Amino acid sequence: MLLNFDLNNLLMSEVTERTIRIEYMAAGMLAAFFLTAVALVYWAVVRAPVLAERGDNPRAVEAELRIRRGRILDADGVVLAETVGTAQAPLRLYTIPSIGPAVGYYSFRHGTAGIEQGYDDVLRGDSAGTWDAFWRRTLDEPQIGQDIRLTLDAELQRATEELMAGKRGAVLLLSLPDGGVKVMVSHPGYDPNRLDELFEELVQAQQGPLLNRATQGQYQPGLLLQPFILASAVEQELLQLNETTVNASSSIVVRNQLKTCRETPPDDATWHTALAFACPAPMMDLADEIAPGDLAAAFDRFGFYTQPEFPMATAPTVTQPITDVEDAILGQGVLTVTPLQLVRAWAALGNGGVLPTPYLVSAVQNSAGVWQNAEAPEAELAAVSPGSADAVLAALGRYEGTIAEHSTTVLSGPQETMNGWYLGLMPAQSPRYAVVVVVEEAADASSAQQIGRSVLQAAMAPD
Amino acid sequence: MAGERAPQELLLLAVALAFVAVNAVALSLALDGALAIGHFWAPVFWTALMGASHWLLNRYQADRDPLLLPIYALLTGWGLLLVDRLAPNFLARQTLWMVLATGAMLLVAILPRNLRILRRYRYTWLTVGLLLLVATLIFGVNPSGAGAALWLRAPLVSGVYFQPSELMKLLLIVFLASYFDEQVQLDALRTRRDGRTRVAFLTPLLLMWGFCIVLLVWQRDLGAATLFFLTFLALLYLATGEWRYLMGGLFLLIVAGIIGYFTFGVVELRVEAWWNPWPEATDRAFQIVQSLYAIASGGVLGQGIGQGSPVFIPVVHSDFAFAAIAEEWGLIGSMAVLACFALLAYRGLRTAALCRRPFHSYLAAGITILLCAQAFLIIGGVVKILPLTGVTLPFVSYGGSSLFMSGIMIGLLLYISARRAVEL
Repeated sequence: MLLNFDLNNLLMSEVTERTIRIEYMAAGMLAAFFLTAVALVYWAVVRAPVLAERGDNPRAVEAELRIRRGRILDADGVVLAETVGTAQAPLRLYTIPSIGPAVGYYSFRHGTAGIEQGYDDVLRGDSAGTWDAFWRRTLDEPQIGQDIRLTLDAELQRATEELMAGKRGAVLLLSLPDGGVKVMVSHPGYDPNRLDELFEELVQAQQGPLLNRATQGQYQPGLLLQPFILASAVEQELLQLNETTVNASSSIVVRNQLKTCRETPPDDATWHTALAFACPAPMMDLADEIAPGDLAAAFDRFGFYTQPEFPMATAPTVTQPITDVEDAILGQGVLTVTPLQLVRAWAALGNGGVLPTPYLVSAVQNSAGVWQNAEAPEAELAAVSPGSADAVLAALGRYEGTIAEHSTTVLSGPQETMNGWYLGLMPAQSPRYAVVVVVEEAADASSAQQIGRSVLQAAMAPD
Repeated sequence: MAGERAPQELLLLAVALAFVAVNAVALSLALDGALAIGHFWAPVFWTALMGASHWLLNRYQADRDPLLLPIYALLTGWGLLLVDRLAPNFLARQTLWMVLATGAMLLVAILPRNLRILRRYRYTWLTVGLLLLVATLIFGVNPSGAGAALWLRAPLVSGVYFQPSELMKLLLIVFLASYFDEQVQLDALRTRRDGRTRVAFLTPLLLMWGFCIVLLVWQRDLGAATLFFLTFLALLYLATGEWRYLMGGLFLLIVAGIIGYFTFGVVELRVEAWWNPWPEATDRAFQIVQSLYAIASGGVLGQGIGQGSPVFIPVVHSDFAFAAIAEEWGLIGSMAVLACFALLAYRGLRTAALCRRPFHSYLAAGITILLCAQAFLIIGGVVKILPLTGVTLPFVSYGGSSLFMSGIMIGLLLYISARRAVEL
C-alpha cells in the first residue's frame, strides 16, 4: 500500500516533468519552422530579383520563348521578318536572306540588333498597359508582340542587293521630302536566318559583315563635300556659280597622288563646270578665302557633326576642330562621314536646303492591333537658303536630263584605298528621291554610278 | 462532451475541400484550357474518403483531436494535385496509395482496444523491421532503375514496391517508446542512483548511432539515417530529461557527418552543394539551384497552379514537392504548408503531453517529431538552410510507402488523442 502510493506520487511528478520537456521540444520544433520561414522569405522576396536575372535560370529563356514576337513589314505590307514554328520552338524567319543589315537580327543566343533591337519593346509587346499585363499573367496567356511597318521597299531592296553582289559598300535611298528610307543595303551583309550558325564566322570576318556600312561606316568624304561647300560659299556670297575659275582643270597632289577633274572640262570653266566635272583645283583656291570657323559651321549646318536620330546603331561623330583648311576643304582632313549623314545632306540640296530626318519605321501597331503612324520626324533647320540649294542643284551634272548627280573617287583611310562614290537626285527638277552609293576599293566611280542610276530609275518606275 | 468538436473538424475539412476543388479547376484550365475529367477523379476519390473518415471517426472516436484529420486531408489533397501537375503518369498509383493510407489510418484509429500488442512485443517488431532492412540490402531494387536500392518488390503483385525503411521508422518509435516506458518505471523504483541508469540509456544511444552509421554505409540513405537518429534523440530526451544526452547525441551526429564527408562521395557532394552551390549551378548543384530559382519565381503570390516551371527541377515530384508549391502558390502556399506542419507539431505534442500513460505519450511524441523533423529536413534542404538529405515531404510528396506509413501514424495519433479522454 505504501509502495503503491509512492509509485503514484512518483509517476505524477513524472507526468509534469514530461510535460515541461514536451513544451521544450515543441518550442524547438517551432523555432526550426520559423527559421525555415525566414529562409523562404529571403529567397522568395529578398533574393528573387537577383535569381531571376541569372543567366542559367531557364525561366528567362522560357518566358522569352513564349512571347509571340511581332512581324516586320515593308512599306506595302510585304513580310520581312516573322516568327513561325511551334510555341516550344519558335523560329524567326527573314524572307530576304541578305536583309540582315537593314532589319538586324533576333537571336536566342546572341540577342538583337538593328530594328529588331531598336523596336524590341514593340515587337515583344512590352508596351501593353500594366492592367493588360496583369490580366494576361493571371490567365497565363502568352505575351503577344505588335507588328511594325518600315519605309523599306522589299522589291527594290532585293534588286539593289543583287546590284551590289560581289562588291563592298553601301546604298541608301531616301524619299523626299519626308526622309523615309526606301533602300538600305550594306554589303557584304549576312543572312539573319543563319545567324546562330555563322555567328563566330561573322564576328571574325575581315570585311565586317555585321557592321552596317550605311549607318556605321566612317568614310573620308573627299570631293563629295564640293556641292555642300559651294552651297555654303554661295550663301555667304563668297562666289557666284557662273563666275569663271582659273586653272579649273589643273591637277593637284592629294596624299602623294595626282588628282584632277573626273572628265576634262571646257576651257572657259566656271564654278558651275568645276562642280559638274568634280574639279579639285578651284577648291584649293577657295581654301584661301574661307575661314576655318566658317567651314566648320558649314559642315555643322549640313549635319556632318551630328548623327541623325535613327533606330539602329550609328557611328560616333568627329569632334576635332579644323586645323588645315586645305585638307578639310578637299575632304582629306579629320572629318569622316557615314552614308546616312551624306544622303541627308545631299537630300537637303534637292529639298530647298532643308535637312530631312531619315526614318525607317512608318507605323506601329498598338496593343489592340491598330496601326498608328509613327510620329512625323520634326522639320530640321535649313542647311542653306532655298536659293543657294537650288543654285547648286541647277549646277550639278545631269544624266539623261532627269538625274542630278555628283560622283567622284575618294582616297580613304590609312591604307589609302580608293572608294567610288555616287550621289544622285531624281527627278532633277524637283527631286523625289536621293541616293548615295559607295563602292569600296573601286578604281573609278563608274560602278557606283551605274548602281545609283539604276536604283533611282527603279524607284521612279511606276509599279 | 463527446463529439462536441466535430463541427470544427467538418468546417476545416470544408476549407480543404474548397482549396482542392478550386485548384483542380484551375489546373484543368491551365493545362487543358477546359474542364477535363482526368483532373477530377482523384479529388473526387479524396473527397469521398475524407467525408467517410469524418463520419466514421465521429461514430467511433468522437473525442479525437479535431485538427489532425483536416491537416492530413489538406496535405494529401494538395499532394494529389501536385502529382497530377508534376508527374501525371503516377497519379493513379498515388491515388491508390492514398486510398490504402486512409484506410489504414481509419483501421488504426478505430479498431484497437488498446496498444498493448505494440508495447509487449517490442523486440519482435524491431526484429521484423531489421530483417526487412537486411532483406533490402540483399534483394533491394530501385523502381526508377537507378539510384539507392531502398525498395523491396511486393510478392504476387507486379509493379508494387515497398520501402522497408518507412516501416522501420514507425517500428523504431514503437520499440523506443516501449523500452523507455519500462526503463523510466524501473528507474523510478530504484532507491539510489547508480551506474545502471546511465547504462540503460547510454547503451541504446550508442547502438542507435551504430545502426544509423551502418544504414548510411550500406544503403547510402542519408535522410533515413539522420531522421532515425533525430527521433531517437528526441525520445531519449523526453524519457530522461537529460540535456547532456541530447548534446552528446548531436555531437555524435556531427562526428558521423564529418566522417561521412571524408568517406562517402554522396555526403561530400551534398555538403558542398549546400555550402556554396553557385559555382556548380549547372553541374553538381543543379538541383538545389533550380529549387531556389523556383522559390524566387514564385514570389509572394505564386505563378498559379500549372503556370510555373517547377519541372526544371529534377525529381521535383518527390524530394522537391515543396519547391513546386513555393513556385506555383508562392509564399502564401509555402507558408501554409509550414503552418500545417507547425500545427501538427503543436497538436501532436499536445496530445503527448496530455497522456498519462508514458507509452502513449512517447508514441505520440515520437510520431509527431518524426513527421515534423522529416518535413523540416526536406524543407530546410529546399530552402538551403540544411544540406539535402533526400527524404520526402510527408503526405505531399509522391511516394506510396511514405504516404501509407504516414497514414498509419496519423491513425495512431487520432487513437491516442481520443484515448486520453477515456484515461482521465
